[in-house]
Amino acid sequence: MEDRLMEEYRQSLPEGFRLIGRHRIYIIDKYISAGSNSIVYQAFYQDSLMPGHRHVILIKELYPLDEMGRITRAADGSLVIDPSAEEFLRPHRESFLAGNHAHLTIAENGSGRIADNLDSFEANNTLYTVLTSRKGRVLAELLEEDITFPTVTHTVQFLKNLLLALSAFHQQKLLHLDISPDNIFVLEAEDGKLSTDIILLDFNSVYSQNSDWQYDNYYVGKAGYMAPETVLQRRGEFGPWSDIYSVCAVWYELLSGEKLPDMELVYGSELISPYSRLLLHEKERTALQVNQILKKGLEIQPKKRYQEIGEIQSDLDRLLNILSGADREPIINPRAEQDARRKKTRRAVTALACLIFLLAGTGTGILLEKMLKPEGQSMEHTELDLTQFPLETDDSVVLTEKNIRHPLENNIMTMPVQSSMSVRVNLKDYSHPRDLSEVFETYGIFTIYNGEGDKRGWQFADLTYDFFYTPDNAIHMELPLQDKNEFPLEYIGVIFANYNYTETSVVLDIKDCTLVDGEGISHEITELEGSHILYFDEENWQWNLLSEQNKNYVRDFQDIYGGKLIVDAEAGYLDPLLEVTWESDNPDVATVDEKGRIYANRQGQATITVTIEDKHTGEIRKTQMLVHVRSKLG
Amino acid sequence: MNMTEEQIVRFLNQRVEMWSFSRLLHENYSGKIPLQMLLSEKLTEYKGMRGEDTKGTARKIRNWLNDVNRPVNRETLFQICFAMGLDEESADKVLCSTAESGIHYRNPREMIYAFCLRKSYDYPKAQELIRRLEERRDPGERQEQLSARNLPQEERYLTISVRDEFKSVQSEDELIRFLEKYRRSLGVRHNTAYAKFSLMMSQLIEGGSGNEEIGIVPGEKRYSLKQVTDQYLRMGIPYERKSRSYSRLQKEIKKHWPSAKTMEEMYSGKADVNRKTLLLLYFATEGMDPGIQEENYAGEHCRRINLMLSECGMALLDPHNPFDFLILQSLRIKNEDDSMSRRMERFLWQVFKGSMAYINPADETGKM
Repeated sequence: MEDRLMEEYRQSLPEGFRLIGRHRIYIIDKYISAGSNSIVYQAFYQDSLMPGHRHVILIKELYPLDEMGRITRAADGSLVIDPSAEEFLRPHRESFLAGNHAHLTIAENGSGRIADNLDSFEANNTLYTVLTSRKGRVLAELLEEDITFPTVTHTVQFLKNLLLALSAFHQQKLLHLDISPDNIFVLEAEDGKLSTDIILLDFNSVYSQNSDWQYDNYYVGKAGYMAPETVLQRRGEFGPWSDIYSVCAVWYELLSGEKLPDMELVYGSELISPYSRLLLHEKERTALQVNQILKKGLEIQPKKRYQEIGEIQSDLDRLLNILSGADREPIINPRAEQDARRKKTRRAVTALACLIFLLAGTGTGILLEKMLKPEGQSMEHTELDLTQFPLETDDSVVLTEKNIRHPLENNIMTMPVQSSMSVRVNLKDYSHPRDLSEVFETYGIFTIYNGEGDKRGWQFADLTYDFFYTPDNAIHMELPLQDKNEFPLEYIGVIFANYNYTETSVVLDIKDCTLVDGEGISHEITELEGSHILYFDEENWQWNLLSEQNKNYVRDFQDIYGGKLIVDAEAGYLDPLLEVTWESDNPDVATVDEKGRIYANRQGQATITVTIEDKHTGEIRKTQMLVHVRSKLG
Repeated sequence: MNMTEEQIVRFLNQRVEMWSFSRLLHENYSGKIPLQMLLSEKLTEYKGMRGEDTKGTARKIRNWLNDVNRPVNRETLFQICFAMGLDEESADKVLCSTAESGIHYRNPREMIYAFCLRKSYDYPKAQELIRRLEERRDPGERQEQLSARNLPQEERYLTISVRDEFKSVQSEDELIRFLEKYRRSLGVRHNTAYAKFSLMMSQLIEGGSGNEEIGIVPGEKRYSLKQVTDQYLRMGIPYERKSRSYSRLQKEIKKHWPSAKTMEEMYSGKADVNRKTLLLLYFATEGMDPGIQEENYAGEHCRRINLMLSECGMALLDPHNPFDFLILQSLRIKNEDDSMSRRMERFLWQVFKGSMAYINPADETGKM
């Protein structure tokens, strides 16, 4: 690419051009970039003592883009300005001077976040500013190339550096008023990667709250980053909060990958989704704090926004502590509390209304009962003790209601009338030959853990397995537990799916299910170990084998952090191995089909017997369960 | 000040009786020639130049200056501004007060008018510039009516950004260059307004009330445009078009009120999204949020509405405009169970008491 700007209407200074400043001569090295107001070059000047050495600098030249071609470059490098362009040039010159004045003022008071203004002078019928040269790129270019920060922490560091740069302005009662990715220069890190260090560019929109400021800028920012008071040109409302708004708009873009939406039509506590790229693997409190900062920074009314940089810096520091784990205090979400209060009020009102209704109904009922019941009879409330029903059970045949996280208690299952539910059989200590005649194509399996209250749902680190790739329908799975969130560990499990959606019967042997906690201690999850008899069809194509046995050993994600969930599983078809039959002693109450699906027909109790015959050894195992069918009202 | 609905309507009726088009013109005119004579001479010249019928011009001007009626055509309003020698800012105010919106800074024709008013050029000069611009266009090219949906992201310039840049245009050549530079995104449609219109309409069509979270009412079904208009935007305004029996205040409020037909035209991009519709949509959606606390309610929504209007290049809320006054008063809700739309409906009921809103049998066939 030619290192020279050759627009239709502008021509940059050529390489090697000698630009004579007030105190030294600068040699143009190459063209760097151009905006609507100026062109930037890389240049150098020779060291006074050791002329063989160069000082590399940047030079900014006032050369507004005039599409009528009235500002041209003469052969000697000077700008030729047509008289008809004078009026066009005037505001650009004012902006350049205002920016230069602000730059010098800030630099005099010491700031590491803007390029040093080494000199400024008039030459070639235009104006020049000499700046220190730094390696890096403009943020806008990086965003266009989808180069972004890898973590929330990086964006926060970036933001703090940006605010530090801005603070130099605000200390001088100056406002930048044009914070956007175009004006943020990201310095190159030593290893050549994207750093969080920045310098601020382009002060042409600078606005002073000092009465002796003699410049009047016409340009106050870019659409999408401008604070509402700047959009509305309410100069009396400009303040440090106006720049803070723009800073938050940039941060929003870094976090979401998109520009701010119509802010006057958006309200709510969640501008960035907790499921977004950068927040997905962070703690839930991180998302809360991020959104609270954005909400306050992007308030429509200036007085509700952060009033000065120190305030937002403080909240960002807290965010960093949350990210590092140093801060574990709960975040109060005012919007959620407000909604909860509203819900509570409405529920209270509804509940009161229901109560009044019920009381009225009950009162009527009581009255009717008294009228109908003969005198002298007492009605005792009796509760049925289901454990008194005799059952023949075999401990090696464990029954579990589908999707329930523990086996049937006392082999009793309660169901409402007119419903159906499957029961899963888990054979303990069942040894059998392996049937490897077929590959279990398109069956998938993976292990999961779930936090209580974790809206993300099952966590499985994207580790899913396909039996197709195994030589012997056996899979070894290790799920690393690296979750930094602080949820209680609710349950763990194995998910087994038949992606053929065909009708098949399978035995899934879970040979080993071990939870290794953060201290390296292994805990055997015996509830999931065993040979699970599973029936698949078009409707039931996935079985979730879940257990809460983890609660006996660990409490929360912190306890398991650094550990893993190890599962060894083997799959094979049921038919070659076992004959399974189900029957009910009271079909009027409950029936059962050949796959263990129980249908509750009317209220009462029924005993279901499952008989399992090993086709190889002839061994028969049998167990019974009680089905208590209750009314739908409970 | 906190007023009851009856007090507000009485107040507005009094103000509307005082405020008039003739007064507006006289307040903005500082010449020595009698206004009626000036307008008669100038408008006759302008209309003759455009080949329009000049008969009846004098009568129309008499009617305007006697407040019998007023011009509704924007071209005529611009001609009046040129005739009176108004500058750009004053012309914008006249348009804001009289027409549906001020100068449209996305309409090339109106931008040429704005430039000419800024430079104190006369109307014939403006017509000459319009011709020059049209001549520069390729013979086969037609000005595309680009909607916000069609434009690439980078070309959806905010109207306000375009207007800011337009401020620096000082010469005719700069004007032509500017208009050519923004040719693709300039059009007679408020692109930004359409984007906001779509956003709010989709909420009403999809019925996102948020109540399903509370579990008290079921989620609303998807609405048609007609249902959205009748349910949310009509607010009891009478359908009847003949307005002879209406008071000045009623006419002022009812003007440009969206109907199912106009909503359909706006939604499909055939017609411009007007300011009143945008404001009513804001009210119907409560600014897309029910959650602003009572103590901040009026100030917050006022600022949001002005931001929305500003980004669409529309006039900000003006308490001197009767409809805007109702808007501002409707924002002063009494408690958290009240809402701006309900308050507005109560005001409108007071304004149109006795003129019940009803569905004309003709509506069932789609005719108004």
